[in-house]
Amino acid sequence: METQSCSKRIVRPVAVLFLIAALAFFGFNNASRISNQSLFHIIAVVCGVVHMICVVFSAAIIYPVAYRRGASPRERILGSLFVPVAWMIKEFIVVSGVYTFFETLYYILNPVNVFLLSLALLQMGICELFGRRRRKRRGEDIRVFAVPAALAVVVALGLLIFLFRGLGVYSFYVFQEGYKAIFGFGVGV
Amino acid sequence: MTRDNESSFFRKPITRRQALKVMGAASAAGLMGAGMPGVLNAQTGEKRPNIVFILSDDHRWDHLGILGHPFLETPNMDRLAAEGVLFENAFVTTSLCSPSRASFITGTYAHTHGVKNNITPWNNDNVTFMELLKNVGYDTAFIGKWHMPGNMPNLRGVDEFITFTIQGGQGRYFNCPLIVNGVEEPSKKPYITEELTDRAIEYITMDRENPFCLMLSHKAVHHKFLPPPEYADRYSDVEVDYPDEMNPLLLFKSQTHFAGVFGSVDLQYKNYCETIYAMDEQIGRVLDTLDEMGVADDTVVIYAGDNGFFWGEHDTIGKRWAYEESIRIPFIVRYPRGVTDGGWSASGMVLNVDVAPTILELVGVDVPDHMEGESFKPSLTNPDIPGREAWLYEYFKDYPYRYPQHYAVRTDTHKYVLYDGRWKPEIFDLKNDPKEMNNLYGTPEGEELLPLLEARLNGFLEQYGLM
Repeated sequence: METQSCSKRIVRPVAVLFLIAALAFFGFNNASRISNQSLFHIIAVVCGVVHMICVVFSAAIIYPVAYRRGASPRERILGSLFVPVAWMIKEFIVVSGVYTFFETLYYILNPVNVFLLSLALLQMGICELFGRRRRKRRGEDIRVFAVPAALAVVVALGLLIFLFRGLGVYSFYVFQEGYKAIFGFGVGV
Repeated sequence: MTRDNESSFFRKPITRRQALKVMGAASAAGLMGAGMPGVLNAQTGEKRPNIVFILSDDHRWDHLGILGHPFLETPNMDRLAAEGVLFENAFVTTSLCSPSRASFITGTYAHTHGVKNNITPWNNDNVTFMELLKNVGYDTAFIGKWHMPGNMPNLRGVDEFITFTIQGGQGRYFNCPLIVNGVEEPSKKPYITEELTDRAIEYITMDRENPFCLMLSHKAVHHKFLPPPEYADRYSDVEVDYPDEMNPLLLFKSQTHFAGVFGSVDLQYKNYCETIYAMDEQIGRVLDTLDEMGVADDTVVIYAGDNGFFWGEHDTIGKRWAYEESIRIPFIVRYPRGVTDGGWSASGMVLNVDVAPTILELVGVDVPDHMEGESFKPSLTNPDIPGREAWLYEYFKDYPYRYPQHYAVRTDTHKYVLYDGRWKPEIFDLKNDPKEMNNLYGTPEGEELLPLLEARLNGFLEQYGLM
């Protein structure tokens, strides 16, 4: 596996994905300005879906590319998480307009964020195992099974099963109970 | 009676038999008053009416057949309106389940009863209209969605308390376990609306000597908007005319994912309408029961929604904001003995906090001073009653939803909304811009309107100690 330059192996793929995600986000939220209803709807749906794919499946896109281009494990992980974490930061900023700093900090633990991170972890684990299998098939002396990757898959699946209980409603109430335990019934309410 | 009739009655000689009949009737009435204190209105001497207050969840004010909804059928709610009074300008003072419900039963604002959002707990020192009716001899029951944060209260003055606590008190549409007077029971029917109606009918038809007060509080039509299987595709093929500004993937940006609501807006909206249809059918069963018992004329039936709901207006799904779709509710009162020739609409503004004082006045109980609502009883006999000129709307933060705290004043013609934080205030001319698409704040017209609206809002905030 040839190691390419830092720019090629990680910076460019992440930058391209981030740019696509950002443009799609802009398109999704501003498509309503288009007077032609059909065009508005088409653009909104396309941009919405593209944005969602970029955020939710970032790891499945970035990780294999970075892997093939020789990125280190740390680079692969950071690159995979860049777009979803950027989305979370955006959400953090929005929520900070309503809640106090510490309440907003707690918001990081909300089920949607946990879902995104769990899904990213699952994708990274699977991509790692597939990457290893690909290298082994090319004749490299490498074990396909790697404990960290397998663990990532198991932990991620466990979290996702918890999150999907009641289609996410259960985990929302857990999240809310955690909030009440820390902040009572709301700061300044 | 005319003056001539009065003088001829009292001057007319009566037989001994007639005298005994009159004396017997008077004694019986007196005994009824003494032995069955709930039966007669102490102020008027009339028989107290039964009360059936049906409260639904997230039912938009304009989703009634009688108001011209393009496809939704609500024959039973339409019947209520045709036989009673439809209040076309009814509102909630906080557009959120728990605060609004607490306001309905206490006659006070959220800042008073304390249930400011879906997290702040119910204070059992709050006095409900059910407690006050119990004090004058009513049989009382609360059946359905309680959804007040905190532990299940030992509600004073409520004989039967049937509710559910699962999913934070929201309940489930299917196979929802109930808490019946503190004891958990499985539901007897799979669908919650039918189950609650069965329990309500069972309560109404119990043998009793006292008048009864039943609050039937439906989970419907809250998310996940699930209709019973027999109505699941009733409106599948309907072409819906959504608001122009609505994004087809709106559910992905509206935080409904916290509620487990995914998929297309179209699917969810049609489910919502089918759930309303199913609820309407169950309301019909209650009305039929009252008819069969022969007590319909002596029963005040009130139907209301606990808040409105956006379906794409202002590019949002849900409630909370002070826009009309969120704060307006369906509101119907039927009381054949107390309403002048039902089947008309009242245009004066009424609020959820007015329900408790009105019920109390209808049954002849003094309205406590602490209640902040106003009785709309006069509106039941006079369609020309103008109603209030302005009122305060309040919304408190409800974690983790990203709606800032805000206050609004709503008059007959305008609305002024003041937000905490970085949100720009809003002024709307409701006559010329009923969809509230054009914020006048900062415009020349807005500058003219602002002083009066600001004064009104500040007046309310001072009055309620919120400044």
